Amino acid sequence: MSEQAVATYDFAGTGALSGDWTTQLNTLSRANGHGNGSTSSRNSTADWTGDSFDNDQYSFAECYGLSSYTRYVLISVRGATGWDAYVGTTDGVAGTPEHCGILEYNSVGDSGDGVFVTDINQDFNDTDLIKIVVEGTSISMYRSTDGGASWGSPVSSTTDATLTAGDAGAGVWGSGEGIDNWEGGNIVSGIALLRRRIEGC
Amino acid sequence: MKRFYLTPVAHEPTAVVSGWHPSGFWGIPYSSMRWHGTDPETRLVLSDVTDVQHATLLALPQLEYLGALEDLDNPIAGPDVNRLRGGLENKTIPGQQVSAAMRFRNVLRRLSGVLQLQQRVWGIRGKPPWPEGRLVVPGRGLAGRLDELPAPAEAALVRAAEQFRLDRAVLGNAASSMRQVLDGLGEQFESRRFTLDTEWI
Repeated sequence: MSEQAVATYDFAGTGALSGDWTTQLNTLSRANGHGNGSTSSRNSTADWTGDSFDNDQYSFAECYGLSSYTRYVLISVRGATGWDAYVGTTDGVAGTPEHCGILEYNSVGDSGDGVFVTDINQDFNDTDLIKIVVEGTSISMYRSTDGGASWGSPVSSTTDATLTAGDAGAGVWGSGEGIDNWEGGNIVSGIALLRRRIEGC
Repeated sequence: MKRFYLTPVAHEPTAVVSGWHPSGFWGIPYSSMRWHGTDPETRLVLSDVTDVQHATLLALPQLEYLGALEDLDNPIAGPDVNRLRGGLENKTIPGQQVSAAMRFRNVLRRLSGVLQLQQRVWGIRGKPPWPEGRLVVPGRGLAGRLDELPAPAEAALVRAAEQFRLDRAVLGNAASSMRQVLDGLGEQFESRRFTLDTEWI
């Protein structure tokens, strides 16, 4: 049965990430209270390995410093060594190509990039939250403009069966401060929540 | 109108991030599923396109039209039966089962099932070198027999079918053609829904 594991990280201060993170591509660090990408036109990513996640999991973060074709926020699920992962991304700009969508990363290496599996016309603003959820073989991306109080319907979805397990993670494409206030966790089914409430009575 | 297509990927040299997109969809919002069985890979695409864009896409030599979202429960018209059979087979996806008694939804669910099986095999086998992760016999295509697949690919297919909880009877006959194998496994997805472009199909 799923546990309601939740990991959070606010990127406070400046320096290396905490020991709960495992660096994957290039170097994601902290700068002035934000997640900071190390390399221009490249991915800087890490997985949260301080907790174990169920296979059905989510990852979300606050957008910061988005910049067209220059700096993207990256949030990931089922990340494994080398950052094989399902990733949601945006540079904040509406329209296509390659501003926003769900990507797959498979052995891309420090100098490679993921593949856009969905490429959508969806704007994001700094302070918006972007979330990716994987449940079974369904992958969906959401936007929240009210700090996560409501997520609404997915802005993008797809189906893929390649990756079955891994960790939630985060990153920045491009250099500079590009992400804030990350959270990753397990998807808890309605039945599990109901059982927990009953057991808690 | 939202329409389904099957099309190989093409590389866009002016891309900033990735560049690999379904042929014809550079700059057109889309959602897709990956088919790793061919090189270059093929995508099942759902995209909201205008009639003019649709006409342009139909002129692409490698693109196959798989119907409109609003027509999914319509029977497949006579001329489309042969077109779909040929279009799928040309991409090494079993198509001979397509009949006038089927609806587009049946075809799409079977197709998504075959794609998911291939994706899972790719995940189990890891990355290329090919052809160990492909589900067609080199030089023989879908007519090749199960026991002619590279042994790692056959083993991965068995594991993938187990993980999807499929009836694996068709995998018990080494003389089965890959067309029979993928047909037999793919048809079991007809009762399973998949998600693409925020739509459940």
